[in-house]
Amino acid sequence: MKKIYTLALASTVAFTLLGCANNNSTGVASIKQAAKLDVKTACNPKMGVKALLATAEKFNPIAVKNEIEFMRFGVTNTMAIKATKEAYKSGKSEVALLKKKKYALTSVKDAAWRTCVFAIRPLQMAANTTGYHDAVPGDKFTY
Amino acid sequence: MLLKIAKLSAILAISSLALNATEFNAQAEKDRIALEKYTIAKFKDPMGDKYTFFPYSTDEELKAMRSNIPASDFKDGTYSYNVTGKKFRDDMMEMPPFDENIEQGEELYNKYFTKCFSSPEVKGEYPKFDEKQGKVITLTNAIINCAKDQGLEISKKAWNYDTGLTADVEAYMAYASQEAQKKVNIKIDSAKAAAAYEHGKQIFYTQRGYLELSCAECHVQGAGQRVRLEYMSPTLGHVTHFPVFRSTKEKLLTVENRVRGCIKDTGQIKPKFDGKFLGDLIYFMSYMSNGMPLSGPDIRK
Repeated sequence: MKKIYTLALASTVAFTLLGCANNNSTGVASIKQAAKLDVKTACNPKMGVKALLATAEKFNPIAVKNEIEFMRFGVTNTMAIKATKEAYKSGKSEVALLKKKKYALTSVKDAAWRTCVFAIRPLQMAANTTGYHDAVPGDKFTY
Repeated sequence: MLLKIAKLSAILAISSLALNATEFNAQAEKDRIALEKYTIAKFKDPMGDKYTFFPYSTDEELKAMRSNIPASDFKDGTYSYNVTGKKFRDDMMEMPPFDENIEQGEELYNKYFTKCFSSPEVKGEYPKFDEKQGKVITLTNAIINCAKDQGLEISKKAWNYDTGLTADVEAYMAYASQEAQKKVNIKIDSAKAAAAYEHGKQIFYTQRGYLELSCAECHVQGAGQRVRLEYMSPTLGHVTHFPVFRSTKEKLLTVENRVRGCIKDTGQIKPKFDGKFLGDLIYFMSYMSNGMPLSGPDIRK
């Protein structure tokens, strides 16, 4: 009987650990993972601001690490994510996504969608490591 | 007999080394020749080849453009074919706004940099691949590193990667190299250097930023096309005329400043000054101008 208990306990521990390991492997964002995504689906505005910001926060750090983060009008995507998150938490409907001209406002929904797309697209471009040959004279580019 | 074997071994070793050295830059040389061929073909008859190379340009623009341009003339960048722009530049060059910068650069060079450089005429040899550090060192990097070694202040107001004193020293070195009729002479001597070149090439031809533009879209396929009032410059001869005095900013600026500005314009963060991204990119761009005469410092709008 003891043997059965030990076996059951060992199996439970093993399955739990395996489960955690699997969750980690899918949970940790990577360039490869981003490359497989369809931006229109992954950043569908219907998912809501919270989900879009979560996706942006998941992928943007990889773009930062690889020096390929998007920036628009002097505002990096990290800054945009922070500003949108703050606006969403405080219940505002608009957010300023310009460094200097504070009067130009974007709706929080649009801003969240943009941060999501801006987090995934640089990684997808970086994942395409062979496509550039098409533009090289003497390689695949013909004229 | 032993002497003969020794001689034969020495000859074999030397020739294998020489073969290896040429092998490392084989791809780069192939790319450079292909780019030169493309650029010459593009500007041979802009009006006649309108639908091949300039589908979005007007006939007036193409008629005003210089044609049949020899490869070495691309050292002037966009002014090799932009006749109106060249007139502006030639007028400015009658009293170059960077004369004082060259003089100050000469003083600074003689005071601090004779220990770090064999001669001021070495501009064409940079960027170099440093085997010990395992990365590309541009002329700006080399000047800043030398300034650091001598305890000079590295800041926006003193020695920096964009402009100021660094650009002054570069201006003097560019001028000295031009006077000595030196040419761009970038070397790829090892597998690591070849890998850095390939990385730079990939960066140059890959789309980036939220505008999803590659450097090549404007400076290879787009060279000579107009954006607002400016004609985009060709990759061939891109680095020959730096540092450049930009009349809009009224400053002498390094090639790093220009490239980072361009990357920012595509909608991406600027890369680090002494990082692999920028170093490898400038290494590739410089190799594309190999063998071209140096013509810096120069003026741009």
